[in-house]
Amino acid sequence: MKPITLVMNAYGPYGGKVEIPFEQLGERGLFLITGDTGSGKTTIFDAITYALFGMVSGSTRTVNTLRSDFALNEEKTFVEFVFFHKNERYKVIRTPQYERPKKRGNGFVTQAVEAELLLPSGKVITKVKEVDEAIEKILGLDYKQWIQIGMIAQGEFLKLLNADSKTRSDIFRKVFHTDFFLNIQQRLTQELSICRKEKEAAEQRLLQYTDGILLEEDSEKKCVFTEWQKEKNQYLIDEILTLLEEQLEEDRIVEKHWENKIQQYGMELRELTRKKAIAEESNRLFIQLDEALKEKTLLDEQYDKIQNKKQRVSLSKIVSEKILPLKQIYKKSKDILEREGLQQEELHQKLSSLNAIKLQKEKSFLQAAQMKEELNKFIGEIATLKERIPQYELSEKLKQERDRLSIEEKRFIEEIKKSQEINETLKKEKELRKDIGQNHLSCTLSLEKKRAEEQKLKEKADALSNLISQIDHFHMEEENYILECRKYEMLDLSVAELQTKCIEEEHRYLREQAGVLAQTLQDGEPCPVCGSKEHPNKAMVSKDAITKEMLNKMKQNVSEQLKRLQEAGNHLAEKKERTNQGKKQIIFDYNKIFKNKIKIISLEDIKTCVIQEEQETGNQLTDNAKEIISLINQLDEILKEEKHLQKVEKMLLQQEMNQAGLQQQLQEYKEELAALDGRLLTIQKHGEIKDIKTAKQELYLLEKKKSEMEEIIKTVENEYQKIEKECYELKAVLLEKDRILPQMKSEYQLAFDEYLDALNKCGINEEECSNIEQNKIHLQEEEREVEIYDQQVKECALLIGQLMKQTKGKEKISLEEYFNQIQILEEEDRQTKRKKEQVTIRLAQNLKTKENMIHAKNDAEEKQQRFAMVKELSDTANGNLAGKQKIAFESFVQGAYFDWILYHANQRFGLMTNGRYQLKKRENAMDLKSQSGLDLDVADAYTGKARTVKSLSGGESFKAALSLALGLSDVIQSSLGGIQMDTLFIDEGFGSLDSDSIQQAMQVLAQLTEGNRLIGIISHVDELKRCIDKKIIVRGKSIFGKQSGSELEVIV
Amino acid sequence: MKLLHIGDLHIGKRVFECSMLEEQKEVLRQIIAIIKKEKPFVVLLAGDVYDKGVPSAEAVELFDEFLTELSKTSSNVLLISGNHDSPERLHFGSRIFREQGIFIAGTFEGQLQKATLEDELGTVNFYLLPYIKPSAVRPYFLDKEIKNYEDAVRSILEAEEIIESERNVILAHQFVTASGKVPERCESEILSVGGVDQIDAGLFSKFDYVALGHLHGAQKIGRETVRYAGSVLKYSFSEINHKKSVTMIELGKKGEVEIQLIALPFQRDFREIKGPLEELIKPEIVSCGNAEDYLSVILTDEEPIADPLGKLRSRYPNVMRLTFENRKNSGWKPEWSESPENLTKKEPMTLFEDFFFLQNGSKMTEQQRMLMKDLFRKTLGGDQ
Repeated sequence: MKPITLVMNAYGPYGGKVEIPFEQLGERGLFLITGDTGSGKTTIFDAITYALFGMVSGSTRTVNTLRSDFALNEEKTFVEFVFFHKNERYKVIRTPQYERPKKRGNGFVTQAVEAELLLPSGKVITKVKEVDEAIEKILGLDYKQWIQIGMIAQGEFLKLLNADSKTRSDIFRKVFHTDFFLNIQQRLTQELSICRKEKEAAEQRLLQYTDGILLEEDSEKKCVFTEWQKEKNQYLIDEILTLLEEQLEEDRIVEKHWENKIQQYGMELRELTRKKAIAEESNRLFIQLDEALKEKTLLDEQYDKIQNKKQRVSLSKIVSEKILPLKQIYKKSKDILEREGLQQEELHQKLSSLNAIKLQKEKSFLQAAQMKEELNKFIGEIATLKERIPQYELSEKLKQERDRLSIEEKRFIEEIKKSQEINETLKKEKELRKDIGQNHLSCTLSLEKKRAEEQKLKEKADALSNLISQIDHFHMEEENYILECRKYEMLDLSVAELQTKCIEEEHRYLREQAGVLAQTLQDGEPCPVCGSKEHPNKAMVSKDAITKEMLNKMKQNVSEQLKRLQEAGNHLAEKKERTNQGKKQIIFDYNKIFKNKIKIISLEDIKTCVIQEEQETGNQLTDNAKEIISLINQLDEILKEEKHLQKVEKMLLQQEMNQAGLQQQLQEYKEELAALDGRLLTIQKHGEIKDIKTAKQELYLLEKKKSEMEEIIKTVENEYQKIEKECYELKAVLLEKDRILPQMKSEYQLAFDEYLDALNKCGINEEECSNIEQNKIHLQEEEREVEIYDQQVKECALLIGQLMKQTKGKEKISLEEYFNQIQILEEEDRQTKRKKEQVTIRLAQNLKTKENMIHAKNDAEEKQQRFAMVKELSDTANGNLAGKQKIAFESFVQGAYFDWILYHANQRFGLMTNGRYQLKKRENAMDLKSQSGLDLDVADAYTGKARTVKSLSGGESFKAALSLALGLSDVIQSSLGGIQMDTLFIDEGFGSLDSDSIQQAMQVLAQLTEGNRLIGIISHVDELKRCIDKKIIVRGKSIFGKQSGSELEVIV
Repeated sequence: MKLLHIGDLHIGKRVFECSMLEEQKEVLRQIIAIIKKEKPFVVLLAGDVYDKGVPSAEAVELFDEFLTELSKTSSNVLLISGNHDSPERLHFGSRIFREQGIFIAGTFEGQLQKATLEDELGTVNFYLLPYIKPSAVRPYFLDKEIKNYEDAVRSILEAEEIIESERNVILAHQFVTASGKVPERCESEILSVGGVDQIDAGLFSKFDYVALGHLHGAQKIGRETVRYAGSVLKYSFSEINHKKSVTMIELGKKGEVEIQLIALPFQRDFREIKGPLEELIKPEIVSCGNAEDYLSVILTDEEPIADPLGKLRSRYPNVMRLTFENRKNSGWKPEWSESPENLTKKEPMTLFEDFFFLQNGSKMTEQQRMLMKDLFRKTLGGDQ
């Protein structure tokens, strides 16, 4: 994540808009944010954190305090952050919640929280939550991780250093995602509690089954069992099981015993019942015999009645067989005869009516014949009409064509008129622009002239400035010269001094000569000077006599100095020459430029003149330039006009072409129209042109009439023919009927005779006959009764015979005794059965209970075993082993990461402390009570011992914390792969370091930037300001002494 | 003309929290003695006079003493500020000092300060270039593009009219290299943090002698006449093998330059000793060298020692640094032979097995292993 730009508006201490171009600070290296206290340094980091995560760094500031109190009311508070991540560019804008005055009206309205994220693909995400999630996904870090590894905030760095095992564990969990292991721990705990429940449930079940144990009452076992039941001691279950076994054995034996007894009883009972059955059987036979005899007597009484019935039956039979069929035949023929008579009468009536109708129909038939003539006429008309209709259609079409063409003609004429008008306007425009060519030319000429002038003026200005510089130079030279003069004078003075001194010394020397001479004087010898021989007052040699050599040296010195003076004098003269030349040159140049316009007085005047002239020239130049610009503008306009003119001419040509085309088309149309007219005339010649519609209608009506008439004629003809046919048929039927009548009469008479005969033969009359017919039903009943009686008699006789045979030689027996015996036996049997049943039930239940118990016991054992195993795992994983260090599984894994973090951290920590300190993980916990495994110690090389990190000083703590944070960041990056922390921010902390330590810390940080990393530091320490080139300086801006927000300045 | 070239005094420096002021007093006295003996015409001080921008009171006193002694000699003094000095503070009184023959160039004001001195062979132009950063140079050369230190120095030199017929000497305090070859570096130099500060020696081709300061080892860069004088004392353990010296230059006619190094004596040396503690405190070992030397001690004992520093300081009062080199520390890496990324890939089952063994001293039963495998699978599946 590399920041590119950060824009803060009305945020924190910044009243207005502030922009930080991070890209100017480069892609890697250190940069420093420095400034006055409270001017807004930490706010910059806050702003970045806020822009990314919606929360601020550090725990001391909250999100509601973000709006700047220095901001004007209309200003919106927002933070805009553009950053690069994995070569993609993202932009996020956030607005916090704050109150602002309403735009209309009074009062305040709360501006809601807003967030916006612009992805490199162009897509925009606008909901706050979505933006948060998107950023977490992009960076791979959440807020907590970010403030641990991306931003080391003021006062926060110590937290990681001084945290206890548990807090550190929480941090690592979030950063290294060791929740998986925590999950495992929790699951094991869950599993353990599940196992425990199951185990207890199994044990409970086992105990419950014991309730189902049935033991013999008042037995020893029962006592023991009742004792046990008071406590339900689980561990004595085995004994209870043995008790149960014993009980089961006993019961089995008892059961068998009863079983045998029951079988015995069964056999005896069966014997007795058999005997009893036999006795009953014989008794029953006797009874049956008595009954049969009784029945026989009854039957004998009914004998007479039955005989009567027999007679009646036989008579009825005869009657029905013979007489009745004849009667029927006679009746049937009578009916037929009557019916025939009726039919004939009907037919006669019908015939007469039909004849009447026939007369009517003949009349209408004649009418129809007349209509046929008219029909033929209509057919003729229709034919002619059909011929004419197509011609009418043609004439219609032609008329339409003609109309169309005339419209087109009119249109064309209009168009031609229009184009002529356009021509006119274009010609006018052309007129207006006649003079353009001339204007163009004159303009260009004047432009050239002005340009030439400009050039000249520029040259002049240059010359002038040159002159001025020359003058200045000359002045300088003059000054130098004066200095030199002075020096020369001084030198001169000194030389003069020296000379006088020299002369003095010479004099002295000379005087000394006197002394020297005097020394050689002896009394009596003449003095070389005056010649006297007495020397009362000899000259003395002075103490500090000066030797000849010294004198010579001095003289030499003097001459040297004189030489030097001369040199200096020469030098001076040279210089003067040069300056004079210079002056002459200036005057010459001046003359060249000004051509002796003004009288020369002095160089100063020259200078002022020149300056003036320069100014004037300058003004002239500007005027000239303005003129040139205006001319250029004019030229542009003229060009425009020319272009327009060209366009106009083009359009004119086009118009003329159009017109020619239109005229041609018009001619064509006129020709077509003439042709059409000709054709119409030819059609009209053939006859009056009627409207097609009316013609068609006429045709239609005619045809309808024709079809109607044809129908009428047809119906009439059909009816007449039908009537004729009917009459004819009826007549035929009547003839037939007359023929068969007498035959029927004779048949009837025959049948009647036969019937009477039969009656006589039987000796009954018709009345009786009909009676018998009616009582047919009763007849059947009586017949059956007779039959039954006969059968009953027969059966009875048979039965009696049987029974007599069976009961020969037997007697009745009493059953009392049998009953009693059986009863006693049954009672005993029942009792025995009951006892047995008891035992059986008990046995069955106990068996089942035993099975269940054994099953449950195995189950419980299994569950106990499993419980023990899981408990061991869970305790180990959760660090709850008694007597061992309380290290949980997650802590163990985190410990591994921790080792790596310390390894990386120590490389830097050692550097920063000259190899004195190393961070170490505490191997053995201080106590075995609290969770341990991630405690931190520092090993001191100077003492050879390790001690807790809390014993480090402030500055040392900062170094340790910085190393730790950098180590943490290294491990996170290498373990999580996808996270790239290219940027690191450190907020303060350097204030507690001395200058050597600062140098070491800077070394460490400088090493870090080699990996293409950007590190930002907030600090007010002076040394850092000097060492780090790239800076952002934040100042609390004060206008007229009043604070109005901060501003910043970027120095690269 | 005789020139004496020194530099990198770093007055007031503390090495491993020990003050070097006494040593510096002594060595500056020695330098004054050399000057009085050799009588150079000019003394060139090539920057890093002080060690900090705001030096301590004792440091200022010492430099005051030194400068006063210098002014009493007949030599002219030319000095510039280095990257450790505060330019404005060093520039204090420079215009007044000029009259005494002491030329100080502390701040850069757009142009190089020039001192023209005459000897019997002619004029020698001395140019003083104090330590500059590109950002300080840019305001004076708005029309040029200055991206790094080399551009800055080039722009400054191009703006100067250097009369090649005369002898020219430049005094500078920068990181100069020759055709990319990196010169000898030591721990006590400070790099410019976050900048590319190399300058090629070819920029100074017009100068007969280039007197440089900044690197603490006396060396030439490219040609013989581009030299670093080196620091006057050893300031770190990487300089143990350096021989500290001052550089004497004899400027003859144009093109003739003779160079001689004069060694600087010292009182206490920087040494490094290594061995087990018991051996090191034996009297015969202590007397091998000066027991008062500044020492970096490397102890090779395998067992932990109580209060090693105290024991050492009783024999060697000036132990500066103590490190351990034994099997435990050398190449120590965490017991987990895998790196963090492998750690994350390691099977949780193996991790748990190791953990179990560590805590219980025994391995898991087969049943337990099955349960854990199942649990891991379920948790992993549940997570996904």
